[in-house]
Amino acid sequence: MKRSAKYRMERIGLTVGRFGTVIGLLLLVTVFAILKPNVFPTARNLLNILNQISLLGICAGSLTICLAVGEFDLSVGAVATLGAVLTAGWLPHMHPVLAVLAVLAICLLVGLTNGLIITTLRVSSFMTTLGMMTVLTGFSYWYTSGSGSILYSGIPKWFLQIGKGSFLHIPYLVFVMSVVLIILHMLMNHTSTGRHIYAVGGDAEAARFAGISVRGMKIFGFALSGTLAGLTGVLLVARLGLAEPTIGDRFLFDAFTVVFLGAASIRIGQFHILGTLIGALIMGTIFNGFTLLDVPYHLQLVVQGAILIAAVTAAGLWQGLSQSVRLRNVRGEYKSSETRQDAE
Amino acid sequence: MLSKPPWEAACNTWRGALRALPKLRRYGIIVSLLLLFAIFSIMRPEIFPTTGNLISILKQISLLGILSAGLTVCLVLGDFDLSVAAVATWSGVMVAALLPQMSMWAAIPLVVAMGVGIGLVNGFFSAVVGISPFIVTLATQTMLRGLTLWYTGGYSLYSGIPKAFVRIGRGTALGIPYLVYIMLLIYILIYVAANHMAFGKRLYAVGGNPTASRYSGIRVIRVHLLGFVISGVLAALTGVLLAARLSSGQPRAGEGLLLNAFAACFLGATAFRAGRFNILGTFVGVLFIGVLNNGLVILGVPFYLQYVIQGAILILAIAASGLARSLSGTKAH
Repeated sequence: MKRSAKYRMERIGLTVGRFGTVIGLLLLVTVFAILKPNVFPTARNLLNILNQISLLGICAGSLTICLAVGEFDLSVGAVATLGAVLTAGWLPHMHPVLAVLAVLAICLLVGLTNGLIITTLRVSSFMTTLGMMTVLTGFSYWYTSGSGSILYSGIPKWFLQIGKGSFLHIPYLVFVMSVVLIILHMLMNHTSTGRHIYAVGGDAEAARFAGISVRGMKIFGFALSGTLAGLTGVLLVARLGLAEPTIGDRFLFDAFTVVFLGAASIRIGQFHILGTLIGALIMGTIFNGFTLLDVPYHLQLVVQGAILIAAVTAAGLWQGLSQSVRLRNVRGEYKSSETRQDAE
Repeated sequence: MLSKPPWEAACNTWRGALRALPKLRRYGIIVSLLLLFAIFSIMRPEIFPTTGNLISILKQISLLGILSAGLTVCLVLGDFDLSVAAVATWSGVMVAALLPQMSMWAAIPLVVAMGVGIGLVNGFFSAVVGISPFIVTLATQTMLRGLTLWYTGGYSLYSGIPKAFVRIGRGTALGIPYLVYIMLLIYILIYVAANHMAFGKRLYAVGGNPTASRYSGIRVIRVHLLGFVISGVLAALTGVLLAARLSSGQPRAGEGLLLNAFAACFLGATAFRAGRFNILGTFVGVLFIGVLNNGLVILGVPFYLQYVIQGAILILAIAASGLARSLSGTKAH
């Protein structure tokens, strides 16, 4: 009797633990709603949170793919900066659609270069993207150096409308993020490409023996990551109306935090888009809520770090528990089959 | 009996050359360093290869060197420590905050002790709890950055810093800055510990194969903890020395150090013990970055081009060693 009660507790723990970060998110929302009942839980503020995380969500979504193939992309922040700087630089001189497409193409090229260097020369992705990040940062400084390192003139009004406007009270950027994340989610979960990506990330050698092009998947991951980071940059310009060479810096660490929070939720230990969205929501809620409570921005960073550690620790505990339960089940089956044999 | 085709000999020489590549590759970074040195010396013979400039290169790299030395120990164990730069910045601010209130000889040990504490926290969560060190140190660096900026409000702390403290960062003995002596001392200590003591064997054993090391009786968790503590202590020391050199505690002083420290360690991993992080290699990597930066400044290259060149050379250097590896058909590790 006692043992079955313990097993039931374990099963509940395993089921609930999976949703630890979601519960954490709901707790945060509840606490903020209680502390600031007039401001926080309004539709307008919740949409505001979604709007605030939209760019981070896109950037983190791209990073999720890269991490799922088992590679680091440290250049996302720098590529976002590059995208922003080029967009702001080209918009006054080109047809906007053409400019945006050109920017995305360049960021795609950057991603491809990363992927090609890493797969062809077998260099660690950490190092390659670190080098790429340095190169791109330098390029962005150079590109903006002629205009006092800030570009803001000649950006068409309607382009800024993308960043500020809304449809049915929902900001355009939220739509963009939703579309990007839904496509990525479909890609990762409902196409063979997605399966291949996870296979390569899980065990590259096994994936190769199964006939999956490991190189192709890695290059694809980096190309996607570069393009979406570039898109983040384009949208940054649309939102802020300017570009400067440090504009995308904070996306690097924030995106990593979001993706790791995501890997600690629902499908624990795996990088997936739904988790990334949850991670982004947690980040957005923290920043929004603490700002409403007048907590200084820098202390929010401390909370952010603490939440990351707490979430990942909880996920680790969950993994330990699930593994021990699985082991016991296997052992139990083994034993029961043994007794069956004895009976025979 | 078939006679050998005439090109056989040529082929053999070519194969021999290819076979020699992996050995050459170990010294590729040193050759590049010398090449870099030669180029800068030819382009600016009156400034670059002077004793004064060489000493100033050593002085410029001293802090990066100390930080990278600690990071190397962590990387040998397979642990990424992303918090080193944040620890350095935090320690610089802390020592500047403590100095007006207490003696220098109390403040410095206190700040270094904080470094031990941070290292233990990093080590606890990654080695004991079992979270990936990348995530743990990402979190601790975010927290430390936040704490530093919150504590200072974004301003530098420069009041009440005694002259004796500033002298550590700016003074010289026999024409060579104290900072250089400190860096060299740390490198010698770590070199001896890593190459001539049981500690080093344990370090490389745990980094190479943690399971095998556990079975052979190494306390793996303790080694990981020690790695993070060394990294934390040296980062804290870097911060203290940074404050001494700037004679202030600046909340953004250490930001540029993180990526450079990683670059130095990875560059160094291509040298000597090819494919593995090692302290001698890191020193060469740090020197490489120092010479490159110094030379580019002397040539009057604008700072943004310095970024571009640095990044490109970083990729090239690492790619070259990777190319040699794939040519020779061996894999790292």
